[in-house]
Amino acid sequence: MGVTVTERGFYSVVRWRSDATRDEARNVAVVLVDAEGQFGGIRIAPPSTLSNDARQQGFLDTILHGLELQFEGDKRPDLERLRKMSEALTQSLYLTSPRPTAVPDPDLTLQALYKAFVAPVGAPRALSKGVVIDKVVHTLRKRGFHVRRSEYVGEFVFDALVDRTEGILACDVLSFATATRDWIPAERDAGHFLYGLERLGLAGMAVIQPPTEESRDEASTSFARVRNWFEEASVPVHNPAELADQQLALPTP
Amino acid sequence: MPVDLATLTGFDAKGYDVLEALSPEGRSTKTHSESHTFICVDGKTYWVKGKAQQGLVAELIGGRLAAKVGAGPISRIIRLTPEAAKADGSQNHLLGVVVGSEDEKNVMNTRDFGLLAPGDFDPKLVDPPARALVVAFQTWIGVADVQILVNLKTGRIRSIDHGDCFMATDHLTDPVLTIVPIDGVPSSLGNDPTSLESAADRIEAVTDQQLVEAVARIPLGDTWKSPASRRLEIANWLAYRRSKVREVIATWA
Repeated sequence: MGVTVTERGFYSVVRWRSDATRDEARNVAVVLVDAEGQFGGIRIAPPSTLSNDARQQGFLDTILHGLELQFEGDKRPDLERLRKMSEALTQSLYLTSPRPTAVPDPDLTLQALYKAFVAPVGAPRALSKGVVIDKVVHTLRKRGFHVRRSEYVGEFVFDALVDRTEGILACDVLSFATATRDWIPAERDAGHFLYGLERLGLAGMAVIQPPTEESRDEASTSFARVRNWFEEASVPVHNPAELADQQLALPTP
Repeated sequence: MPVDLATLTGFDAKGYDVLEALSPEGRSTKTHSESHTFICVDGKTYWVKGKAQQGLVAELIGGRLAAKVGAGPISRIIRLTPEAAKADGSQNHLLGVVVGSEDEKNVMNTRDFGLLAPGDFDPKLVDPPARALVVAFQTWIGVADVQILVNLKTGRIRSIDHGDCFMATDHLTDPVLTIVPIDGVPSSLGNDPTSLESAADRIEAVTDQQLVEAVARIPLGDTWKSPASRRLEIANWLAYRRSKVREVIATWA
């Protein structure tokens, strides 16, 4: 048996109550701190698992990513800060009172608490549009970009917006890797994106999960159709996996 | 592979794996063991106990074998530090290197069935082969304080609480048919030839090497009652009874 030095930490579960009247909340993240702000972090559930509403996904992503950023600075939140957050956030998004936990290793502990309280249960989900947006946002943030999810620019909503000094990059995210029969909504989605891009004069990029072998023929047809639209509009199309490549330059205005 | 001291010593030399408890999960029992639930570093919840009638060794071996044949939740060696326990001292009897049995969702001990409201559980859900397996398993390991869990949603039966097994292993004894009654379920459910054969096959499929592994790599100490000589005795006792389970459960009327 190896010897492990165990420290004491404190955790809170972040809960989301989409309808305050019904008072039904779900666990969306877990926060770990220690008394002095020496270690800690936050693990967040993928926004697509939290709500079917794209605007709610965007709202939750913004708030939770904001919490996440607090752990990246020199001064991490400590127990006192967690207590204050727990007291201050009491409406739709709230934190449970901090509870003690042993911390043999901060990363392992955070992962375990996430698995215990937050992680989605059940079979792996299909690669839906929401799941692919999760990946795209995560990948671009990991590359250091500031990304907003499901937000409007003027009168047009975009799946993801990358804020850069040279201007906003709007992203349309589509997935043809599901068993869906009706691809008209995806085609309308692409059309809306191209129209909004033109009206606003923004740089744009499409991230598309291609059909799989299990996909229906209609998926491949629709995929080819929208890819042609993007090509004709000079909007680059990428597979989600390609975004992780640091060498991949994002389009400029 | 022989079930002898040299083989056991060889396995013991690898040392034992300990799972770190992180935080109380909130439930407890008022039974002999006064067990409490803890979230552990693998993200799962375990019923942690610091004492058992025949030593923690019995609980651990029973749980390992139950998981091996699919008759019950696995038991693991757990380390509970003061950092992971409640500050009020109510869990101090569990501090140290103890044993934990993995928690299962939606289950109820049949001893608590009196608390169920009509309609809470449909006895028709109980799966005959699953019941036969638990009967065969409890018959094999000689459970005295017989307890089972029933999953109220699926009817799955699970063998738990093996802390009073292996009371007298200094001489070889034949197994005795052990059936836990379940309210509303016919006592004969599971005694059909197919279910019995499948159950006996599962027990007989446990190899001598797996028996040695089940009794190896276990902590020593008063609460464990686990000297190598006793563990070897248990392995040989189980090996002797393994081939007799088939004929004993065939007498189930």
